[in-house]
Amino acid sequence: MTPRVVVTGAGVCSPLGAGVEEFANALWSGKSAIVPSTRFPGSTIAEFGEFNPTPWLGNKGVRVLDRGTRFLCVAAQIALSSTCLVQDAASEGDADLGLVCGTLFGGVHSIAMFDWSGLMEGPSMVSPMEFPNTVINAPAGQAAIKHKLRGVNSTICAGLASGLHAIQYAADFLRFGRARYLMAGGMEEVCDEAALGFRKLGIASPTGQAHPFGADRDGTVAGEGSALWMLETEETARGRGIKPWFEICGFGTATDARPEGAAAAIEQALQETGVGPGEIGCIVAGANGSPADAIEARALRCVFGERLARIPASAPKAAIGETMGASGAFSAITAGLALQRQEAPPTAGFAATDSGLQLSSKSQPFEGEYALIDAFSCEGNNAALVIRLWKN
Amino acid sequence: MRRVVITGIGVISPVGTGRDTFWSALLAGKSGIGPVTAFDSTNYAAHIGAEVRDFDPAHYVKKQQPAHMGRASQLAIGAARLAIQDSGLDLRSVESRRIGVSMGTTSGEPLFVEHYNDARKQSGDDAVDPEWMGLYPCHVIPTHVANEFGLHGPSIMIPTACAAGNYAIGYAHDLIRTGRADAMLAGGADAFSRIPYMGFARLGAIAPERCQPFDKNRKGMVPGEGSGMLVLEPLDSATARGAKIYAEVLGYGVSCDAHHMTAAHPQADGAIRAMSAAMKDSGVGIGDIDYISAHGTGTPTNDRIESLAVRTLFAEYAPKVPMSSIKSMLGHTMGAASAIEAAACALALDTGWIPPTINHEEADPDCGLDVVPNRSRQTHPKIVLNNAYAFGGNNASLCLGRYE
Amino acid sequence: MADATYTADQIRAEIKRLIANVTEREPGEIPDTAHFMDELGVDSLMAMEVMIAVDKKFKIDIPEEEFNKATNVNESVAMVEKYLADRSGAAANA
Repeated sequence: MTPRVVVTGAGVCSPLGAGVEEFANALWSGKSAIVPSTRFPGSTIAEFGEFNPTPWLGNKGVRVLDRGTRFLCVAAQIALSSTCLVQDAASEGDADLGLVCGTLFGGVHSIAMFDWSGLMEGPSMVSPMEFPNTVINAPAGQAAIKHKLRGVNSTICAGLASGLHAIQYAADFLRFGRARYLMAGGMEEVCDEAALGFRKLGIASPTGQAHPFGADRDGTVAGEGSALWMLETEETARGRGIKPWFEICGFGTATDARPEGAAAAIEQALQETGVGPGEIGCIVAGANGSPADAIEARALRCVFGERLARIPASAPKAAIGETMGASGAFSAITAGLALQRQEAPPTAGFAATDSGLQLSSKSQPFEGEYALIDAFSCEGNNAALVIRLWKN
Repeated sequence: MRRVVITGIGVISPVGTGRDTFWSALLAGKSGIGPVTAFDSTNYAAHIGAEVRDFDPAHYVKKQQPAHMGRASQLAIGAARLAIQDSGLDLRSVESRRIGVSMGTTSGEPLFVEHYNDARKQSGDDAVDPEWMGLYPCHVIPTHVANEFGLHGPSIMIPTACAAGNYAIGYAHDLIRTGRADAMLAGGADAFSRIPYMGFARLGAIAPERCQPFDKNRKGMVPGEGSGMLVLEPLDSATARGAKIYAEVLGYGVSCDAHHMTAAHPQADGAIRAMSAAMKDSGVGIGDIDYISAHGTGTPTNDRIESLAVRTLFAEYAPKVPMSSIKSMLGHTMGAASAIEAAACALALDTGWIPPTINHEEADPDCGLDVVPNRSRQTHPKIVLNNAYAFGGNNASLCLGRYE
Repeated sequence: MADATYTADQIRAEIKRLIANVTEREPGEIPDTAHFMDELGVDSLMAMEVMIAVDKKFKIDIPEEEFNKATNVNESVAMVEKYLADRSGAAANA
């Protein structure tokens, strides 16, 4: 019998809110973290600005962590606390506790700065202490050292679907019995390189706003942060007296930039869950305000038909921007909160759409145990996840 | 759960391209290490590398534009094309949504970071390639492979540095085992770049002349590049179509040292746990392993700690299990390394020969193992372990078995 | 232009500042005789970082294997003084 995988905790480190509660309150009040950037004048970004991790990470062992890694370590600290798995300073670390982290860029700023210092000062003058952060798995590796995570440790890159793939990877590892507890989600930093990349690629909104599925959408806005779920099997949770929040029911993926690719991912997730489209109570979409939102909308219309217009939906990138490798995880967190509250949160600044989705600038109540989360990348990395409110 | 087998091997490496050239070179103890040519190494503390020579991307990249992707993607497509050809698998016979790509890498496409910085140094932000954000992130590497061959199934990059190949092959095996895919291209790729080279040179980790894993006088590793890709299928599909089966993927295990970003745990804790987990996942014991493909970079520390790991876990069996490092010939091909090493393991199981650790002159008493010095050996292994250890404390061991 | 000269106190202050920086302490918390690795947790990467900074600050070039022989602040100060003296001597003889 395949073990059931459940979510028992979460950690969020976002400019919209530090910690799940603050994040949820801001999301439900329709707030947006998109601001005129202090770090990149002339751009709007869902950014932290100056980020101080001390309240969560203390003073020691933080200097070596680059900025994005600090987001990840803070989210991990919050996730571990939320489910009583913070380890004692004296412990050598639980070999059954691990981390699966999705990302698009990893620590590209660290990589670029290391190379830059070689260019400017010569290859013999680069700092050895900066070399470890030049591998793409550095954030996950540093988080493992900081939080003594000796179990499974993986970094997952699947474009904008990274966060959902990371959750699925962790769920399968738990089903295989390779770990007892796995944090899964993603991290991303808007650094110089990412900000320049957004501008150069022409995907940034010239008006500085993200209107997912919006009739007037004109591009997206970069966002940063980290979001993690704590996953374990239902049996492990029961054994330690922890009540699960949700169950990970079904996952689908397709590498296909066409609407049928995105639809295939959604259908696979529904099929694995064993439910039809009619049982989905709420949809959390990956749309970010770019033209490609139309492809996701078409896929959802294809799967849900007319019913799509009656399913409360939310597009959190309106509030948190495009957090790339972390976005799937932020969407998953949003879907979980929606199931718990039986309300789809507002889509910040929503005005009008011709996508066929039922979005709103207000929260939308629903009755349902299942939520669908989807992530669509225009180079073709699609994924969908179905979760279910836990009932004993 | 379905059994998973390897039916195709594609390698583009510093010792040659293609399964036969690669394997002949390994058994002959041929080295692909030479002076660095990809960039001017004058001001670096080291000057040797293991580069892929005479690689023409246009030979392999047919459906996409080679100029619209990075070198790691080109190498990966090349190795994938060779693997598919080798397998004889007609891709149209598998539903496209049921076949995908699982890969590992250390640096992804670092040349785009180099170009980004070169452009900015020369002329400022305006000179940066507008496309760079679409070409650099490492998930585009398996996506490029998927697009080249029309594969619409799961596509994923697991950039767990120098252990990534094992992670990727292991995950591909998971996807087939659980029925999420009916075939997978799995492996790793990395392109030669000044960025990791500079780092390793600065740490004094690069050997001055050659790579001597487990030798008493070893002086370091040699950065390299390449790609190794395997075709993985369910056993029943492979036998139904009369495919040649090189080996079976029995299982794998991963762990994290959570100790230091670049230095291994002094008691080899993570390495031991990864091997144990692999054997448990595979349903085998230490007495069943008859060859180990070592991580064996040639640095004083890695080889000492890796030997400690094997001696500790294998106990009285340790001296009887031959363990060689093909990095002695290939250098360290980073994220491709454990994938290329897995290809070598599959060939060892298929042919009965194990490759040597070359440049071996004086045994290191701290090692104390049979490192198959200098000459390949016909031992007919049945079950082998492929070990890989990475920055970030990521460890992975893959277990392959002979299929009869 | 003559190279700068440094007093022992100045050298000591700089070394303590560098060690404090890599180990996330205050300079005042670095005793003169505390063992870098065993007592202060300075690992090989941190040691290299300090060595590069020392070389840069004092415009000397201490080989890595030599630098690693200094295991505490006192020994490091003595080593820097030696290399500064060698450098001055070489300049005087040029």
